[in-house]
Amino acid sequence: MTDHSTTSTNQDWLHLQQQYWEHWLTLTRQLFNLPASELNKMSATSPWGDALELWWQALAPKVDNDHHAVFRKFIDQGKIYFGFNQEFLKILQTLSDNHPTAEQDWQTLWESSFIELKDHFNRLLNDGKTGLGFWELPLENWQRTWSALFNLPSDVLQQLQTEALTKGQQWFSQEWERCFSIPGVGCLQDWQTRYQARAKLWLNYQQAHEQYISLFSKIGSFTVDLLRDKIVQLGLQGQSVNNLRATYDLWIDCGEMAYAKIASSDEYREHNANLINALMALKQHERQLMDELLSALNMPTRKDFDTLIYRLQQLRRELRARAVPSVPDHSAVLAALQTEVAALRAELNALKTVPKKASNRTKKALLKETSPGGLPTAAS
Amino acid sequence: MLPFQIRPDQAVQEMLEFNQKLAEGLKTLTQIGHIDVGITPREAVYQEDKLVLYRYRPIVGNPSPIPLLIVYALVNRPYMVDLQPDRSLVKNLLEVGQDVYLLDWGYPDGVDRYLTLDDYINGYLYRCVKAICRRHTLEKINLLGICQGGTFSLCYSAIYPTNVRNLITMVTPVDFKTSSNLLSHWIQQVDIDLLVDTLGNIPGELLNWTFLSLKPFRLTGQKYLDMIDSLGNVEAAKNFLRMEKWIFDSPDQAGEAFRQFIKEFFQNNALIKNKVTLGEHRVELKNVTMPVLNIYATEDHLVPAEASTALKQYVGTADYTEAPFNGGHIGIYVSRRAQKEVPTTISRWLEART
Repeated sequence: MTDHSTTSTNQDWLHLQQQYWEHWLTLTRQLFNLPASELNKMSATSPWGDALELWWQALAPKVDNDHHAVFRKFIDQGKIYFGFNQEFLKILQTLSDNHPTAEQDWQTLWESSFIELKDHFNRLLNDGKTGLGFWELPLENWQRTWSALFNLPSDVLQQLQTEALTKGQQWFSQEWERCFSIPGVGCLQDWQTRYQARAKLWLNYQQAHEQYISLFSKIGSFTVDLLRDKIVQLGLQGQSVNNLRATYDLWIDCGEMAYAKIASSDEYREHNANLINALMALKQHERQLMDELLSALNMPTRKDFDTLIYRLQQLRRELRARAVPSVPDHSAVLAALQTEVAALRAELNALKTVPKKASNRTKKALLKETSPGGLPTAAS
Repeated sequence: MLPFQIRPDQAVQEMLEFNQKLAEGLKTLTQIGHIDVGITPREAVYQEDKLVLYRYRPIVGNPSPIPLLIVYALVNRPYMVDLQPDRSLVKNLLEVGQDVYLLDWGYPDGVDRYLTLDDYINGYLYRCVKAICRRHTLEKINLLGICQGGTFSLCYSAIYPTNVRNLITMVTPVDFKTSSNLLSHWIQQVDIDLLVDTLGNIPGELLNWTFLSLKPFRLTGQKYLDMIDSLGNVEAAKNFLRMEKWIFDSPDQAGEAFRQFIKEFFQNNALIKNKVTLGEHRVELKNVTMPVLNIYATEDHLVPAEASTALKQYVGTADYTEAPFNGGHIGIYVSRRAQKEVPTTISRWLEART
């Protein structure tokens, strides 16, 4: 039914991509006065995201170092955007190739396309492979933080994690746990035990990471559901989306809605905390190992520095306390005294305004009436 | 009706336009040099360790006789209140006649690991207020605390009510366990002792990750695509780069102060229970007896509005005013509307009490 039309559509699509790329190269040459040879090597590349990457690699040396990081983000988001568009255009192509006629037709096709899309995302996440960058944003964010905490490039960790996640099935973890529990022997048994403990902590972290990622699979599915509902709703209302950017924005809205719901759950709270706690337990253990090694080499350790800094801080506090005698806070007493002084001033003013003819007796009576707390004065 | 009306040629055209904008944006970025922030003229009037107290040069003939000290959070940098000439809370406050001081906590390093909240509030903040009082021969000044700096200002005002004439809190968390507080929700099960004992000072990257995780798709994805649309405009690109600089300019947090803040305030919600103790002082909000203006953002995703408005239940003052700002946690400093609304609200409120 659709063989001819699909082939035709695909050819159109490839032709348009080719045209697009030629335009793009011309534009780039014009904007940056680059020689044709610089960009010719890229022209054979057809996937848009890859092309963008190559384009950036050719131009990056021309960008000021201060702005490299931010422009890298633009490029990365551009690639994610292209990836998203390509996935979505596939759905649209399926829809148009099947020529839905009645309202029911497109809804049925739409449902099946979404099921396929959902499966696709879940497969990518479960395999730990690179999928739509959209899903990787929060994970990549964590990856960068991880690297900053360990002072390692994130790519290194990416490789480690992908491998561990791929093989990190339940049975695998259990086998490793068993392996790491073999009692140490000989004069190095203490070190062996420590390294076994380190390996267990590493496994714990991997499991926590795996659990954390599993939440994103849920967020992904939920996002697709929300998007499907929104689009069906649009169709029923006779409205349509007319450009790729609007589709992407709709997608982001749905992603944030799905994320907000799951991120506020107790399950997310637990997995998020486990992720951080497991990483810290591992890092602390590594620090202790490092300290022991340094100590054996008769070198200063982190613990030594911590103790020094702590004592220094204590000394500073003591010095400051001696320089400025620390008196208990008299703010409240001071406030009460200020009120009392104000009352006394008022009383004094009142006394000053009493006519001179007034008898001493009247003055004394007035004094008694206005004294704070009715205390007797020296005159009485 | 098919809800998508996008033809392949149209899609290609859209992608081409996108790349065109990206290329133009790249050209713009090559033309922009260094990005300046914190532009209003000022002088350092007090320094201690990494802390610097600045006084901004008054720009009206007779500024308010009572100076206003801005106390910013330890998280992120205080130049957010003076980002650029047309987005500056400081500049606008100067224009309405305030005499403005700003406390810059600096970037803590390993040596500051054992600084506690006692050191920050009863130490640094206390001495900054004293320094200003001495300069102006005054007993009390006005305080404007922002975000975590607002919480610090509340603690300070509760301990030293006689040193504060008027207190303004801006997007300040008070009740740390309101239902919509996602940050608080996440932090409850994190082992803070393990975190601080392991890392010492808490790296700014970890805080960035947390904040970006609040809205990951918008803040790490869509925002950049939106910007590509206006990247051809040099001024728009500069504004964007300034914001980017601020967002990722996160100082590390002194370990002990962080431990105390998260455990006491976030996990135990001790501020509203009068159970926070700083050194020898217990913080009791009923001692906040000076006039209070509480400015909060209705769309705040970091400090939900109800986390701020809880304040009215706990302070001891009879002169309490709330001022909602229709926007978010960042918009309250940098949005165009904020430039007019926020300083005017503060100034009018202060004038009525000076």
